[in-house]
Amino acid sequence: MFCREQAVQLHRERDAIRRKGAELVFVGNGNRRFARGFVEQFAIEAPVYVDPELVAYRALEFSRPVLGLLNPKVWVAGARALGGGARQGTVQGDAFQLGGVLVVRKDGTVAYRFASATAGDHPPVDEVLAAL
Amino acid sequence: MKLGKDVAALEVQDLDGGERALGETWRERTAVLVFLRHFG
Repeated sequence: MFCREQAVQLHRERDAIRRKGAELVFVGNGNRRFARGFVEQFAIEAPVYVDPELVAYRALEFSRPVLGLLNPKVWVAGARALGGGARQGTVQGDAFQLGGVLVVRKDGTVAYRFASATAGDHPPVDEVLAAL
Repeated sequence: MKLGKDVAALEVQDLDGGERALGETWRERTAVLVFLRHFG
């Protein structure tokens, strides 16, 4: 549900991102079959990669709190996502692994970094666009 | 903060099973990398 919410929000801004000279890229921790389903269901046109071994997630220090789903903030975010039309699907990947957003320039400089503290904790889209 | 070559060299898979260095995503233009919690 949270992933769908974030993916749809950012994918809507794909053209704006490209106009700023950047490319939107998704990385998921599920397998390729799940990723294909994600691409088809949400008509994702951006590149999608998978990292089922969580190698990049770990290297970039995205959290994997085993009790993270019990945080009350998760339920607030859930209500927000449901209100926005998102629906919970089957978990297709590591349910505990949290994600984040990086804006990385061509020289490898990180212009923006957001690491989710809980499920449903996403950066404001405007904040991401402002980093471009 | 700048990502090192070690991070750029980390491999992710494309949807056809090919291995791609993560750094390829920002080699030619700025990348907005969205790390999803999962695909569901």
